[in-house]
Amino acid sequence: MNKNKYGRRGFLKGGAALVGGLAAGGIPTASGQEAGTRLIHDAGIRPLGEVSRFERKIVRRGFGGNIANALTPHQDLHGIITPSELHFIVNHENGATPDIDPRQHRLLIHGMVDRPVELTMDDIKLLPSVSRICFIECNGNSGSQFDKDAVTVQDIHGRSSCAEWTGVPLSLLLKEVGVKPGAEWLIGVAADPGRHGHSFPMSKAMDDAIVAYAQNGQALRIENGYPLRLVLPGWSGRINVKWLDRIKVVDEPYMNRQESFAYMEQAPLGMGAYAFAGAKAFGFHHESFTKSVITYPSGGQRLAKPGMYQISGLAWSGGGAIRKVEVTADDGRSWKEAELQAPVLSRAFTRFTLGWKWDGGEAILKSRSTDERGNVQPTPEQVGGTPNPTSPEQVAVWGADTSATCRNLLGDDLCSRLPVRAQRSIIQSWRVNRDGNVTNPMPAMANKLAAFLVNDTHEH
Amino acid sequence: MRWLGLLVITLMAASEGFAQLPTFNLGRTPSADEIRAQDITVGPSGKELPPGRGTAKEGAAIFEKRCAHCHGVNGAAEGQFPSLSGAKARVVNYPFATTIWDFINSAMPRKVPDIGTREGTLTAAEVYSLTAFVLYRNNIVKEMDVLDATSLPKVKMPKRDPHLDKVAPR
Ligand code: HEC
Repeated sequence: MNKNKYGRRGFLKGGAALVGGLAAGGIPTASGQEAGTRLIHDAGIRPLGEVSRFERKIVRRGFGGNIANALTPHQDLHGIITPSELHFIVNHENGATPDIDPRQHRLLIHGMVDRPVELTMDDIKLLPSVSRICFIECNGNSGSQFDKDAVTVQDIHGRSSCAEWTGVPLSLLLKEVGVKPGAEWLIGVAADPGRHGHSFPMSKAMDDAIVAYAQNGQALRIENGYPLRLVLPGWSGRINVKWLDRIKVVDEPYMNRQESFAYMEQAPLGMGAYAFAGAKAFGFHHESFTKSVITYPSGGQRLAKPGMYQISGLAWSGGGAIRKVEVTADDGRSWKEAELQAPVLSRAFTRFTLGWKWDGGEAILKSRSTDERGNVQPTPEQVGGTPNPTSPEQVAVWGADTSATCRNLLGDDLCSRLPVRAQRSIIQSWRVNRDGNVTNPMPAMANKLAAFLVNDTHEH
Repeated sequence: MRWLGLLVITLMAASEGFAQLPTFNLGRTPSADEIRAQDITVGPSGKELPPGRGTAKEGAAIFEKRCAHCHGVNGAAEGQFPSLSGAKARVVNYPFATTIWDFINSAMPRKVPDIGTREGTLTAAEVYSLTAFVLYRNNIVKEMDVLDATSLPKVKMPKRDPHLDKVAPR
């Protein structure tokens, strides 16, 4: 039908300059690509799919100078799956990434179990598998919202990605090794130089944790933990231990280094979870709070002219599925419910869209998510103070931790007074300026929120 | 004789069945020694701590040789590596001293091929001494205090929340 589309004549018609251009080396555009449609003549099979020369600028980038961090370019992506090569990475190894030979790799499960076992990758792949779409988010994600150098969604919210993970349910492995009475906690340990390890409670392990070897249908990417990692849907990235080579079953949280020096900012009582460390209670603030962000139009993008636009964005929650996303284009004076694109999955990215007519004037765009627990994404003012579990206003805004984990461990009374983590899920604003440029207006609020920022102990 | 052989075979089969995931017959049972060699994770109770002992005084010399070029003289680094003493030190905020032991033991000194440092090369006594030294530089133990498997878990870290025992008794 389109026989001539890419034939000689097609080229002549579609891009007169190009026919000569191909032979003579093309016409470079400002960005260095050759302009115009062309035909690739392949000699043989193309072993890997190729990114179009017009899309090669869509890559991971660092923010804040840490070479070990690479952030997802959400402003240029669609749907809910983050392509594996664009999945974020945050490491504490200053770039030292283990490049593991899967034939030598072993997973040791030991500690308070009846039958310690060492499994090869082949062993693991012979077990019944599950696949599940879920996001993984670094604790530090969105922390640069008030940083004057933070311009794009990628800069601010790029430490969160969503993939389909395939592997063995951890609950299956634990049933096989036989967990001893009193074993309430586990530690996942990585085969990286820092021997990164992290505790997590048995309830999470038995609920939905996966020992994963595949990401979006392929083996894990090296930086995402090849050949084996933990996936704890909805729980902070650091607990989703990459390059997993050991699971130790224990009686109490082990206070590994990263549980000890940072990441405690959402916990109550100032020094945070220290209050509970060493005892049983540790699981209740590892869940990502509900969050959403508009990815189009967003910081760094430009609207060419007034007219109709489809606002698009992502919403997620460590506490379950997204129930609702509301969008405002007038700085919060009026909110409209956005459409949620199927599928709407628990602990996964959910894509939302809403048609909007830009009249050419200045506009402040925001989105606000609500999850299935009824938690609502907070405003900067709502979380702009020092966390204080005895403040009824703060708990009212942040919501209390009503998870079974918390109630079982600490009892109803204490859990009803523990604010769940909300500080890093502050509603993101984007300013659409008269010239169409979209900017991040939040650094200007930083002074007002000084207390919050000073209190921030997170390290990247 | 014959039945004895049979018994041996049956026993072997039983222990072999035991040596694997029971439902799927996969994997291998590691020996206690193999597990011990890999299990370098030490928790707040300190029950995994190996024999050995050390003081800050002994640690000072080791620190100078193997740690100071990254963490600075006496741990007072200013640059890209974490400071281990003074106002900026994070280690004082750890609620348990066992964490310092655990991290030095499993991850320090960070590998520098040029000068031959490499994580996992310290002896238990060296790790006790270095932990004592770091704690001493932060005024948490005295220079001659002996740290070992019994005394280390008892070190009271300054930022361990006073509410700890009330909320979650150990
Ligand atoms: C090549 C440089 C290098 C050397 C040598 C080195 N370290 Fe480190 N050390 C680091 C880095 C980098 C980190 C931070 C690691 C991270 O963030 O994952 C660190 C972290 C630490 C920490 C945790 C600090 C914190 O703030 O949480 C301790 C304790 C420590 N080192 C002790 C030692 C001791 C003791 C030695 C000597 C045996 C040593 N280090 C040698 C680079 C080094």
